Amino acid sequence: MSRAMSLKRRGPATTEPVQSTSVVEVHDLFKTFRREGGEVVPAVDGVDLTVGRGEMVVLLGPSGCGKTTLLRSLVGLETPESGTISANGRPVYSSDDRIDIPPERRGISMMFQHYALWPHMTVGGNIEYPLVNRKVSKSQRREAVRRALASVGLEELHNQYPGQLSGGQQQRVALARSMVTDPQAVVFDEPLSNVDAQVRQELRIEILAAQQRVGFAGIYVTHDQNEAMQMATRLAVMRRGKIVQIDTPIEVYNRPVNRFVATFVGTSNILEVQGVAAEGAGGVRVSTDVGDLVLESAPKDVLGGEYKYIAARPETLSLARPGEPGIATVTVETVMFSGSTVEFTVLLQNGRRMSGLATPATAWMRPGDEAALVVSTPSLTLLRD
Amino acid sequence: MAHTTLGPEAAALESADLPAGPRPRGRRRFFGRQVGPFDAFAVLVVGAMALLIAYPLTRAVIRVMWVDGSFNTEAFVRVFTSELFWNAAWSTARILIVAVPIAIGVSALFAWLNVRTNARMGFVSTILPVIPLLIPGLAVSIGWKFLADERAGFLNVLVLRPLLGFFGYDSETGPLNINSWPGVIFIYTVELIPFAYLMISVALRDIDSSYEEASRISGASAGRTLWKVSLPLIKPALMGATLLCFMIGAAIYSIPVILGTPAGISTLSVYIINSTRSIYPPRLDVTVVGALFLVLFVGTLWYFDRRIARKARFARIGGKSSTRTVVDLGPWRRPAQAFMITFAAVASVLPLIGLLYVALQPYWRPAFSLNLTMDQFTSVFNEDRLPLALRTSLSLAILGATIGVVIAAVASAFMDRHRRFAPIVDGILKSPGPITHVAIGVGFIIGLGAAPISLAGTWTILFLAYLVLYSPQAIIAVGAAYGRVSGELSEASAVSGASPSRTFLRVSLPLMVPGLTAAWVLLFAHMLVEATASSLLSSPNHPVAGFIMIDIFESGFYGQLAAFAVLVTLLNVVIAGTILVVGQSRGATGRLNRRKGWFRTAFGRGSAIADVPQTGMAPTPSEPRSS
Repeated sequence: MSRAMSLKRRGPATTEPVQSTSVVEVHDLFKTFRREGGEVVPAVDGVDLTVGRGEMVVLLGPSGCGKTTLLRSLVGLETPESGTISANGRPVYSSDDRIDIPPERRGISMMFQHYALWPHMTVGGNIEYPLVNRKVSKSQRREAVRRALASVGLEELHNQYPGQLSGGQQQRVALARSMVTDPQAVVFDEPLSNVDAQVRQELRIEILAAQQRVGFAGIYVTHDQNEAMQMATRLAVMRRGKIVQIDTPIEVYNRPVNRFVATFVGTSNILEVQGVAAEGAGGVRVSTDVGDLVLESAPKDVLGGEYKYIAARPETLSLARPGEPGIATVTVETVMFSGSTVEFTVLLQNGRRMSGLATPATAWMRPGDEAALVVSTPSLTLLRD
Repeated sequence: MAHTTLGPEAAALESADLPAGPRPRGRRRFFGRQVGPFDAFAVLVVGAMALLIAYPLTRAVIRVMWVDGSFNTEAFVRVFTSELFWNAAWSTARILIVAVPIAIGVSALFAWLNVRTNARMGFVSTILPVIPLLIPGLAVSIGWKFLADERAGFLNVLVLRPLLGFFGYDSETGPLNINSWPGVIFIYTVELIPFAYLMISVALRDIDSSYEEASRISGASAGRTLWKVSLPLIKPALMGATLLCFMIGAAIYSIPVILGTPAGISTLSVYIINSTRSIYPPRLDVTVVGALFLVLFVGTLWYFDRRIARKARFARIGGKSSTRTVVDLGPWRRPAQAFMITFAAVASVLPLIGLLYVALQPYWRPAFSLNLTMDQFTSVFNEDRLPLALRTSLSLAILGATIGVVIAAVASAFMDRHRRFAPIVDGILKSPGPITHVAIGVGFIIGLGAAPISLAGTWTILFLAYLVLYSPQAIIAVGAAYGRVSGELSEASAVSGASPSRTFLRVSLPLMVPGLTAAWVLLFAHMLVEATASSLLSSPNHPVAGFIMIDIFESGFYGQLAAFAVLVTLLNVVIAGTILVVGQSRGATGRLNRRKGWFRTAFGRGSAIADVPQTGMAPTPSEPRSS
């Protein structure tokens, strides 16, 4: 895995967990799938992952990247082929030691994509079930169910059946069920993909609030990048069974390690590097397919020719009136005003499209206008691949 | 990254939690999981079924083909040069070529009316698919004999002749004659419609109505939309239904034997069975060759059906059930509804009234009289063999349905554990479908009836034959019950800390109860009145209801026959209905449906039996199992 070099000067990047007490540890996990034609595809390809108490690690990636398989392997619903998994300080899976604890004894709770509420049990019965399995006394169960229902604001639905509830209510019950045992670790398998936008936002807050209360280690799978950035203490971007980058959402957004992360998390304009030359004291001139950029500070090995791309976030682009200094002359294609910001796209002379994000102060432009493209160089990221 | 280090103590401690057996790293295990006693049992059960399906037929074929140690073609020559055989084959073709297109057209119309228009009538879509379950085809045929007999049919005597008399119609016969080509074709059509309706309406329900909305917005009329958009979208279902109707139709025995024989119409099924049953000495070789021909025909259609179904799976339209457009039929609404009500009456109510009326008369007479008597019912119980047949059929149906469901449940659990072997097990248990009742009956009487096994005339041979005959329905219905227990529901139980046995008892089983009872009822209802294979396999010591009805019919004791048919139908509806109502309301989701009333709870849409095809030849309904 190549490390990206950033032009920004910020605190040192860290990939270590913030917390010292790890609840879930995964080491060198492998799992393959056989396609219908007999082809073997790695679903989880040598993953290492540590999740600490109170942390929420979000697994983000395109569909089929192995995030759900990794999650299901953690709780024991899938059996990996090799590697180790430990939870709450004890091994739950180890291929070398032939350990494979069944899901009911791993003590990891789970929230499912399609609620998975049992239709033949009442709301109370659903929430009580994990406690019955743990042989909690009846009076304690009653109290715990009451508290769990109160925490999601559904006390009055205790005796209803799931079929009588709305989607949002069902997912709240599922949340209460996964929290009722005060678990050390909880995994979330795209739990909000089936509820509407408003309920989704409410439930995100409720999940984070529950985490504050219970303090569990959370692992959260989603393919929604906004949700990923909002929920994550650390964001793990996955591709083809591997974790490509794992860091705080801010770091992942500001310092993507490669082109894939730069375009998958947020939007990036990718410029192709065509040549690099020294310029002034410590600076470089990078010629790209869009135009020449002068970078005042750059990594030492930049002249070695290893950097192939520059990622430019939309907010690094702005427009100036024609004739003012800029790296290229462009034609404004679309302008979308959305309150505090203006999104725009421009066409370069070679037909290439770039997208930018500016303040309404520059809303003078109209589709069809000529403009000078200005790039704010300190926030660009040089990428090797 | 932290490395997990495991002490030997930890390994020793935790290995107690593991299912037994080593798990070598990096090597694929032969089974997905360890092989336990359950798997051994399942393999044994499925193997026994495979043997029971393959052995009798193979033996029957060998017995005909190998005479005195050499290949014998005499039987083939005899059959394929026989005028009777070609007449029967031609008759079958003539009936189906007319009946199937009509059945498909009427079914498609009914499906569209009920799924998409404001002529929809809840009870039609509820009752249509389950008519074959509730009212045996034999009872419908006999009922229509009473209604539309050329001379003494009630419709002729009491309704049509007086009515047509005004227009100068004056005749002692007609105008209707059920013992005729149109009559036989009519009953075939009525018999086939429920099967076609189920397939087509399910397909239509699955289609997102926005396709049709888009067509209407684009300026097409409701009729044009139906013709240009809706029907093309369900083309795979229409083709599947057509093939299914040909397969079922080619193997029907009860209708032609009762209605065709008096008119000199003999179908292939009748030819095959009568070559053994009504000719002395029985021509077993002719029967076997005829059955082979039938299996070849149905099997070919079945093969094409599978190919279409496989292709259609990829073209399936997403199951998003949005709000459906209701096409306003305007002035056509009432006529459309009247048409559907008429059909429901023709298929169920009218023949039942005919049966009941004859059963309550001293004898079948073409007149209306309220001078009712229970004499016919008394006569049923005064004769030894009729109550005996009822008892035999009841014991066969109850035990057969129970064992059949257990076998299917064991096989389904095995397929769930070992997905790789699922297609083989599934294929074995569904293979009796295209083999047809006729051929299985023939195989059993020759393969198991004769020496060295010599089961002819026993209860056991009927029981084993029924298990084989209805194994496709069992595996389809039980598989659907399994599918309703989605993977997530039992997984949620496991991550909630429940052991596998608790997960089974508290989650899977309660969710499966409605489906399992539906499967039981399906088998029970069909086994109770099976007549085709039973015509070959039942004996004076072990007569069964289905065969006895044909026998009484041929002897001409119509009053007694009517009473017997009424009793069988009543027995069927009461037992099947009770079990379904109990199963549905005890089961998982039924609890919420108390408002619905017992009939819709048991048979209505959403009940476990509603979407399961009644015939073993039907393709499996879409696999709801999530992976």
